[in-house]
Amino acid sequence: MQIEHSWRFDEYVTAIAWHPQGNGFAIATAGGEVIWINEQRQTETWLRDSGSIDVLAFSIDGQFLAAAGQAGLVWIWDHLFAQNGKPNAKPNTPIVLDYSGHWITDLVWHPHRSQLAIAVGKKVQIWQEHRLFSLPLDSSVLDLAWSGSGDRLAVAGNGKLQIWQSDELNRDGLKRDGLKRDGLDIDGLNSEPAPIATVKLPSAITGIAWSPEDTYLAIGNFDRTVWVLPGDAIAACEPWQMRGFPAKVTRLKWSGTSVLDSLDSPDLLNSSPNSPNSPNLSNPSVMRLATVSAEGVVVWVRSSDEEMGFLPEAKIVHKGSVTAIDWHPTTPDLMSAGRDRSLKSWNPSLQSPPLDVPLASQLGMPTWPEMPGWCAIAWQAQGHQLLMGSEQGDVVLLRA
Amino acid sequence: MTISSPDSPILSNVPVTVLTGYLGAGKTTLLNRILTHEHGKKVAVIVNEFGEVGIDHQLVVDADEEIFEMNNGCICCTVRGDLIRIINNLMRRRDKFDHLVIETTGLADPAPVIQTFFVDEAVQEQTCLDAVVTIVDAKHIAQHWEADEAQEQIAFADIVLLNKTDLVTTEELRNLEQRIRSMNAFAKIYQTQNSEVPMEAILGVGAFDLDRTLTVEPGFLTEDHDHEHDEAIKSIALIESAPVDVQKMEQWIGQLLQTRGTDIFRMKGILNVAGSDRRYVFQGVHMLFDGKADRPWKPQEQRKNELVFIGRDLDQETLERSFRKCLVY
Repeated sequence: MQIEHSWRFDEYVTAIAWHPQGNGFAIATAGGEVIWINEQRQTETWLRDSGSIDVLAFSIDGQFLAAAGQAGLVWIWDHLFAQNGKPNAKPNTPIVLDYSGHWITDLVWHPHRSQLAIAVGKKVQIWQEHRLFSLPLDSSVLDLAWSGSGDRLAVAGNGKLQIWQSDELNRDGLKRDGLKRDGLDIDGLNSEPAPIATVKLPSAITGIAWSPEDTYLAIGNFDRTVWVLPGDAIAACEPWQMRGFPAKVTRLKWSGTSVLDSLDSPDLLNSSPNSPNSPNLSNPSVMRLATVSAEGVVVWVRSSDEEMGFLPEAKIVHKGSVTAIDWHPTTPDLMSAGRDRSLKSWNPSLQSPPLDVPLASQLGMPTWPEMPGWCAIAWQAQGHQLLMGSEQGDVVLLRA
Repeated sequence: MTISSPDSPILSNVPVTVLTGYLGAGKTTLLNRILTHEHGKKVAVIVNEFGEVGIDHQLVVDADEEIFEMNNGCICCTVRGDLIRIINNLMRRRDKFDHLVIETTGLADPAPVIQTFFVDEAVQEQTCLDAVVTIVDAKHIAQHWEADEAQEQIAFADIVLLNKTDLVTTEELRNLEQRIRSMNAFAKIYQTQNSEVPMEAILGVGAFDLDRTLTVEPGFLTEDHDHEHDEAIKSIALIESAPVDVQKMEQWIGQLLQTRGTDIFRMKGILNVAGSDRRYVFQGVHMLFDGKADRPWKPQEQRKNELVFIGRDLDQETLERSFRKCLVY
């Protein structure tokens, strides 16, 4: 892989996000910056000195960028693109939602519409232009995930998981509040929406992930287990349980997610899914789940034997805690990074141990005495480019 | 392009001080002192009452005291979920601070806070617990004395600041100190006014560091036990010079923690292991146990076992009797 561009910022790169259309991307740092890097690779600082910014996400239509972090503020930039499809030169002043006192680390856009779910303490705030309301949970909200079809929102907490019907969050009976830009609590629903399903778990949840086509919901837990539930019977089935992890499960990622996401955007419909080299990712037998615990990544595949559930297929071991993983969007390659500054690439068809991605100097960066500690990895939707952020503030764009 | 020195990736773990005590005991005064004091340390603070610390400081973070039970209510697996999240986030800025102080509310049980640093791998990987500092209001502690929290905060402490000493008589102070000493035999006690204490007495203490020798305050063993306070929580010291049989000792500790782990808040010890020229040192919090072979005994040093347990409803004689079965005569 070749380095196309590299940048150095002052602090830990906490989040990176590709714009869903085009080729620009945004990054956030622990120093409180939000920086847009356009297709010409020019940088624009949209926010600075704002506490740590820890989460960053574009809406599916690419018109909104949301960012949040330590300050308890959520910044939402809108109208990022003009009518002609070109990026607007300067973004508007962002909308700011104020939840001071909460360190916000989770926010997710609905997969089809510009609706944002934000984890704020023991509530999920649902924002859609001019409309804001909250869903309560009786513990801190520990993770959020919209199903790929967009019909459900999964909310993870301490010892429980709740599923909310998306239609419910859209219906008119809900009391609307004018958007208070400086208000703290915008609560109150005329008719209280209720979750459609609740799953009790023995410990707190660390992360959740829907598989492509919402076939499964995977739940990572503090008690060193992973649960997988069938997407169509979440509360009605005994979970498949994966055990034996050396530590809590910190990350979960299904393969193929990006492909399915990108299929939603019309310009990619013709690109690849039926080409002979693409794996048939909708076939459960090749759907893979990568789970991160301490220094290892374990890749699981669905067994053809219904009783067996999921079986481990590979283990990728780093010499320090694994900080980031991402599946290639069109091939079955998994990239993983560790706190030991290693970067590994694994491909199931090679049937070999994961390959170490060459050190920085071999990548054409002789000025680095050694590899930075990568903590964020994101493939561009077509899989042509890989974006990485480091603990030291490096951002690198690689061409595959 | 510059890069930090090659040594930088393996940063040493950030030491953490846990600050407990009742509302009004002087925690906020001490926190402000820590934040403004020129002690050469950059300190990040996790507080429970945002705004009480009167300093505009980017590294003051509000916590919301959320308990996570990991394993069907097993007490040693109880941790503070909010701390895990905050510390994980804060550590991304570890070059901005080199010491972390966590304030807890007066009503908090210190155990989950302490256990967070031993149970959660991500926290353990990046931080190390330095000491538990408990501030006691010398004047008003009497009102809270019966509360479990007040006693547990003292029992878990490595350092006790007996604060507001100007508001009580010398006699009251002496009684109070004795009472605290009977509960906690290894805490260092400082008498303070207005939370004034040298920073090196509370930061960088290394109380959970096995390399630091167990120091039972000499007064504890020689003290006149006639006027012993009848506390449910107290310290028990076992001192024997005969060497211990490793296997028997392991069995004994294992069984003790299994049956009494809930009641044993903290323990520390040095062992004279039969057949070994090295001291064996250990410490524990509830059922969590950490031990290792330490330096060799010095030639002139008297080899002996010293164990201190701090806990609720512990019986000296029972412990002594069962421990003696581990000895090799």
